[in-house]
Amino acid sequence: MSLAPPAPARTGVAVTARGLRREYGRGAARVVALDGVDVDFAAGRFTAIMGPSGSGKSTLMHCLAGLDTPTAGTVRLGDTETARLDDRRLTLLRRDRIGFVFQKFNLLPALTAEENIVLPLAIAGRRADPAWLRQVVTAVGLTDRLGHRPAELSGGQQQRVAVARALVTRPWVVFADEPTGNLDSRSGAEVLGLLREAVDTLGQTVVMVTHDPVAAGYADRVVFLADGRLVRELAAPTAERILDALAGLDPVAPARGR
Amino acid sequence: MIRMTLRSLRADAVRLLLPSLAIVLGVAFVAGTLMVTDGMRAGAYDRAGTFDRHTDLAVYAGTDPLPPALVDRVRAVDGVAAAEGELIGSGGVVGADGRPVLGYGVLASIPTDPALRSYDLTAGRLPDRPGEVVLDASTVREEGFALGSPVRVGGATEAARAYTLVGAVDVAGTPRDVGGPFIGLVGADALAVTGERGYGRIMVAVAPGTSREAVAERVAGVAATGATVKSRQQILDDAVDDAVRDLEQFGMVLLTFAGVAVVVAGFVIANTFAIVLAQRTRRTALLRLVGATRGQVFRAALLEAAVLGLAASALGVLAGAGLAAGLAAGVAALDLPVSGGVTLTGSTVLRCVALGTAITVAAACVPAWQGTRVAPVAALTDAAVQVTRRAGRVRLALGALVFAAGVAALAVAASVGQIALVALGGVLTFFGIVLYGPVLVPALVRLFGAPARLLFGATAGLAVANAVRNPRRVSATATALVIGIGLVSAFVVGAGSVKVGIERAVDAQIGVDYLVTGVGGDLPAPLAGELAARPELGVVHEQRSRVVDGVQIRVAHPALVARTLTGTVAGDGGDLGPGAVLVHRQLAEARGWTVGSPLTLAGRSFRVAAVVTADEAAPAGTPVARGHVVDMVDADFTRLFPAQRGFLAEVDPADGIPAEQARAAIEAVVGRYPTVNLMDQGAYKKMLTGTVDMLLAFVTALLGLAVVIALVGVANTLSLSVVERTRENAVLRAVGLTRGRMRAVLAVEAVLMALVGAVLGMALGTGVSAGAMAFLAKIGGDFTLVLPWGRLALILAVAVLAALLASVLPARRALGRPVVEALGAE
Repeated sequence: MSLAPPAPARTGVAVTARGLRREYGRGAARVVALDGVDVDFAAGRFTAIMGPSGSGKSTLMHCLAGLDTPTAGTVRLGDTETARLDDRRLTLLRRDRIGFVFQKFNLLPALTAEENIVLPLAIAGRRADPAWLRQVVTAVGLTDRLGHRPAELSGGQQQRVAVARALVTRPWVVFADEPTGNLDSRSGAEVLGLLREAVDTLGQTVVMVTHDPVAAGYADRVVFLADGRLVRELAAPTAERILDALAGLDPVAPARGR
Repeated sequence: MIRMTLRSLRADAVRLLLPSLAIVLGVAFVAGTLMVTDGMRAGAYDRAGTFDRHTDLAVYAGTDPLPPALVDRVRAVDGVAAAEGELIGSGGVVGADGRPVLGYGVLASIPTDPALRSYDLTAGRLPDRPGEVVLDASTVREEGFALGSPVRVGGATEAARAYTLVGAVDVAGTPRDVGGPFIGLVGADALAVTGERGYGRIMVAVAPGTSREAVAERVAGVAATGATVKSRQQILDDAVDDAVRDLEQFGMVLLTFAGVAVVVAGFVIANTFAIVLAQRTRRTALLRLVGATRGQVFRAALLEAAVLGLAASALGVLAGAGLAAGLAAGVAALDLPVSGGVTLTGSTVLRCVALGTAITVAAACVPAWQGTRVAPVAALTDAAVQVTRRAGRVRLALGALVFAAGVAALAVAASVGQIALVALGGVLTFFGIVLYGPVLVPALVRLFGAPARLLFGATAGLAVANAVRNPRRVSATATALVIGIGLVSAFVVGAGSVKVGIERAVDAQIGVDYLVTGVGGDLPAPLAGELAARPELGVVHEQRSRVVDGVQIRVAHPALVARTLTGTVAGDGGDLGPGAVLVHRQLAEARGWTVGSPLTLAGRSFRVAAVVTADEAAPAGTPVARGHVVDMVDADFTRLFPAQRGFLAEVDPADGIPAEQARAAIEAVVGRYPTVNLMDQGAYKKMLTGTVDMLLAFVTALLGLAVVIALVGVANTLSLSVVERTRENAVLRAVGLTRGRMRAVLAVEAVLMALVGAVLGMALGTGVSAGAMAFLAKIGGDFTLVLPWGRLALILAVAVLAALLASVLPARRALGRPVVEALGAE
């Protein structure tokens, strides 16, 4: 099964979660990571998910991205309800409709930068549209680094390869999990600028989990999670407003990371 | 440090499970072999005196047999209570269906004096007078013979005659049970049937109260010159020695193959430690950081190997006991002429455990030394992306050199005429492959991966990239396979070539429709004459030859001789006839003979009819120079050597007689001679090549284990790599690789590794075989290298299938962890 490469959805809702619940363990050892989350992510927008450690923000992203299976509730990506998909279809959905950027870069060390970028297409048995590939590579500034292997690239360069890999399939959504967590502030700013640019110029939908108020400041909207529930959201955020909002969530330890 | 080592061993137990399986299998093979041969040796001691329970001393024949008159003289010696001649020869029994009972028949004379009889009767009695016979119990049972009924027995001298079956004896497991029937007759009958002029030995029972030594001396005085007198103890010792010598050889053969398996297991272990220690770099660095010396870390790794080797060897001994018991049961069920239980001695256990442990520790030495060369600072840096160490230049240069030397040795072995060079060449080439492997193997993986990439796209691309990213690892994995597959292919190619050589020789030498052969002996004397007397048969040619004064004298049939000759130097081969012989070129040159020259052979005069050439080797085991051959007609040969028989007669139908009728005519004659066999040319070829096939099957089965161990190595490498790539694989799954394709990636990786190992092994094996065949062709014999493509393809197919199987477990491990969890793995 191979889905045709879609045009990024520029309007409407890209991802919807309803009554999302995720529990781990059983009986006394039961932990509720998500406790009934209803949330929409607008297409063509940049949304950040924030919250204190253990608030469930990573779990939420994993469930939205089809990497984890919710205990209850539904996730709708575009017109697809993920709960109805078996592992194979879910995998193909990830391949064709979703892009990922991870904190630890997660490139394949045996492949060159270019091979890493086109990996999702290669897995699908498709060739990259040369013009589009050139555009993406130019945008992330890796034109002269394509033949290098990850071990020969700096952290910032590796993460830019990861961003290019996420964009190259023109996915419905790019999920970024702490994309600046392993980078210095300058490299981090570059990567965030790239994501911002993808939203502004390409109409790409980006959902980012972060604990860094500065990173979240690049987003159009921030949703806050605490104890597995959606507690607040902020439109047109700035770093200061985010810090305030976080302080309001948890007066004891504001914004101390995941 | 010891406690920490043991703890890390427990933590890594799962990783070390597969490599220890390699040691378990290798040790099991050695242990099983030792147990079975010990058991057989014990059996040999038990049976050594089976036929000498009452023999106090015996006279053994020298070159000439002991005449029956001597038995009477020995019997008359003072102090001798009983004396009987004993003869062991060959004979045949006509079965219930009128055809000979299959297998080589042992014919023995049975003493009539009760004081010397030591056979175990299962029914009836032993023969007391001429005309009576006993057979072994299983032949009696299988043929359904009834006691008192006539049974037809024949030997080398005459057609089968009827004897009265008076009993059945149990000879199973003794030297007189070789798989065919056992026939016991009284002395006179045995002499008549076999055509022998006397006995092989005379058994003597000494009268009670008489000194055996004194009697032995007196008997020695009576016995003919050349005969030896042996005491009871000497007889038993010699019997044991004989049995044990064969066993020792058998045991050595098995142990050689077991050794190959153990060496392959060593390769797997070495590779495992290299990988595990590489994966543990950070931990090792941390230990060094907090103050452990490199020596300590190194010794800890060796200790780990020792514990692993000890445990695996102990399991191996257990598995070997099971293997031996299974083998013994199988042998018993198949009714093979070997017997003996399984003997487990303390020394076997000790030796096997010591061997397994030593191999494990020795194999771990180099990887442990390299794997502990870790700077303490490595603990602090991010080792998420490990840079693999490439093979050193010295190693590669040495590898290329050794490889070239090996190939050169194989190439020149034949022209130099040294078979040892072939073996040396094979070993050198192998080590060349091992040393040069880190470059050679990845290159071949890429090469074989290219078509797979076209076919499977990214799946194969990922597999190739994964396989070659650590050149030393993939090289070590593939070379372990080279040993087993190399040896198997050497034997397969060698056997294939030898078979073709045999078939060609048969085609060249045998130009007739039917062949009559003796089973394990020469043809009975009257047979050829009786065949020739049948009007349905045209050519009847008994192949007879005799060496006299360094010249091989052969019978040649005028109608067939042209086939065996490659040319005529002078005269006309067709002039072969009474008194006119063909002389081969080398002999004619040596003696200065030309056409028409008179010559004297064995006291009779002949004339040279023609000087000819033939392309054949000198007869093995005789002091005859190549081409020192004289061909003469049957009548002339009979005049020279009337008693000389051959083991093969060629028969052609007379003109205008249909094949079936001719065959019926031959069968009518042959049916009365149970020691001969009628075959057409195809069956004859099959009989000759069947032995080669059987040997090949035996060798392949023994080498199979080495291949299995190497494939365990493939699974092992893959498994360890999967652990290392946990996070990468999770990324692949996250960005859209389905479970099925993840399995496919690992399957392709496994297949590529196995394929490279198998192809290198086949190339090596073929090279060795080519060297051996060239050598054989050089020393004489029509041998060329023939590649049995079908069988080679089968080896490849088995390797590929096994590799697919080997990828199942690693794939399960790769897919076992949820993607989210694996993404967070270190």
